[in-house]
Amino acid sequence: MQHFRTIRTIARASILETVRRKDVYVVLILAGLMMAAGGVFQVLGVKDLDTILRDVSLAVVSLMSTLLCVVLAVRQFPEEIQRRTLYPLLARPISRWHLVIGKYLGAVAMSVSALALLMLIAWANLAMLNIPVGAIIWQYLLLRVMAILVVSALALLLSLLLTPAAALTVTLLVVVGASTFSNTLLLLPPTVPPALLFLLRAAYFALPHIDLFDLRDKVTYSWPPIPGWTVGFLVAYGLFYTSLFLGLAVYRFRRQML
Amino acid sequence: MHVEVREPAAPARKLSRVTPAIEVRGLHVTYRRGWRGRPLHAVRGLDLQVEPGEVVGFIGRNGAGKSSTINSLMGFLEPSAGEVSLLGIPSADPASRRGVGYLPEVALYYPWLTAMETLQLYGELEGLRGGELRRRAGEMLERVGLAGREGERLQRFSKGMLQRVGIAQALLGNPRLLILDEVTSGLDPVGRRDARDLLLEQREAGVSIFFSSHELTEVAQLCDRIIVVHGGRVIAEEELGDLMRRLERFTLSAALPPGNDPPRAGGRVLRGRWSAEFTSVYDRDLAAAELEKAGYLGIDRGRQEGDLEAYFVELVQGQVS
Repeated sequence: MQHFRTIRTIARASILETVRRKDVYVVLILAGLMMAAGGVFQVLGVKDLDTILRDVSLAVVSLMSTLLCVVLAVRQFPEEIQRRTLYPLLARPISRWHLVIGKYLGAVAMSVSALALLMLIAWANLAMLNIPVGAIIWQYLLLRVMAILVVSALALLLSLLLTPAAALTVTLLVVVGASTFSNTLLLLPPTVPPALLFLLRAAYFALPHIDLFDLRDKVTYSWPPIPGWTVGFLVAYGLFYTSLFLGLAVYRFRRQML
Repeated sequence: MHVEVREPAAPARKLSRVTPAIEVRGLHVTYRRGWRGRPLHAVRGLDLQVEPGEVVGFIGRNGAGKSSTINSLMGFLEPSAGEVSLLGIPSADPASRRGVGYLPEVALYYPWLTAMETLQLYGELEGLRGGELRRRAGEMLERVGLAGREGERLQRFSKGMLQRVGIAQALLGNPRLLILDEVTSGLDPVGRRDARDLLLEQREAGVSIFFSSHELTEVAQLCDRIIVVHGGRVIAEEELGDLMRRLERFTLSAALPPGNDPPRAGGRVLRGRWSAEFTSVYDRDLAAAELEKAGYLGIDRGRQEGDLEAYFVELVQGQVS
């Protein structure tokens, strides 16, 4: 119970910081404007408008929620270490893992809230234009949350190892690059030396494939919901990587000199 | 003034069987920049002990190893070697910080929180809850002179006000041990006096206090004992009362008739008066008797309190040379 209270207190402080810094609002306003701009296509009488607008809206949701979760997670520790605001926190009878988990949950809570608001804006926008969205949207939403869990954990870990700018860049590379990398791997010619192929395959399996959590195309083209066991597997896959990255972050932060 | 630099001896105080408030044995702190960087030895085999209820001043020049020692005490950094414990618990264990109040050197608080929210955050981490926490936080803000400003965000606070918030958060959990890094840093004279009064109150209540400071007047007013650190080692450890008595000087001055030589070797002549300092009242009175016998007029006896600053400077310069 005491552990839970400590983590909740730290997470709450982290949420309060994000709320009062107001940068989330900027992202939400920007996303709303981008989605609303999609309405222009209706005036121009574009074909398959429903598909285009669903695609644009969900692309904005995916992009903004990913960017936001990376930024929020990356700045949790470096700023605190630089400002030395961690000292009075760590001067309390709390463990360093409390701090890592509390800050992680604070960042995730804000990212998920922002995702919910982005979805609400997208939904309102599509509803105003009478564009239907299938039940698969719920699976899309759940898997976006899983993506946020994994990406935030990775960003937090990297922020303890690298400079904030480097952590941000590497996280975005992993998020964007994993899908490109996996596609490229399938196109490798048979002449590639076996050792290199082994290394590439090892990297392929070691890196999390954030693209697996993206059901945007299926929502855009009005697919039926995917089987429950697939969703279950993806949730387990996401939780595995989240635990791995958080475990490494705790290990790193426990050994960090402040 | 001559200061004898000695190896730190066991302080002349009763050996207590109770758990020390702070115990440090053979502390080494080494920083290394990068994989192949040259190691920087900030603390080299430091030993110290603070007894329950004792107020100890930890003094030294910038870079002497004070902050590294305090950071090791608080568990902010892992010592390269040695043992550190607070209230009998190794500092690596978070439980060692239960009952410890800490004030960092510079105000390090969240600018987007209000003063009340700041205290509530730290209070909750301390284990305080609900009504008790709000009451205690309000009480503390009032005691540091911030009553009526509870709802203001810290980003609008001056450096001195932030230091007051710092003092309030350090005292929030009714600590048994206070570890303070430059307690009066950034405070105006009134703030300094208030902070000093608060610490004296804590001292009266039996709280152990360990603090670093460059303000030696403050050290002299608050401490039972001082520990001087230089180059990562303790170079002197003194009971303050004994030290101040040792540093006390007895003065003698007399009017010097024009054309006359000074009555004794030593001393100095300024605006027609000769004056000298003595380390004992006996020597001074002996000299005064000699002057009286020789017919000097305007003989004046005085006492000068020990100058901690001069002691410190000489001690440290002795180490440098």
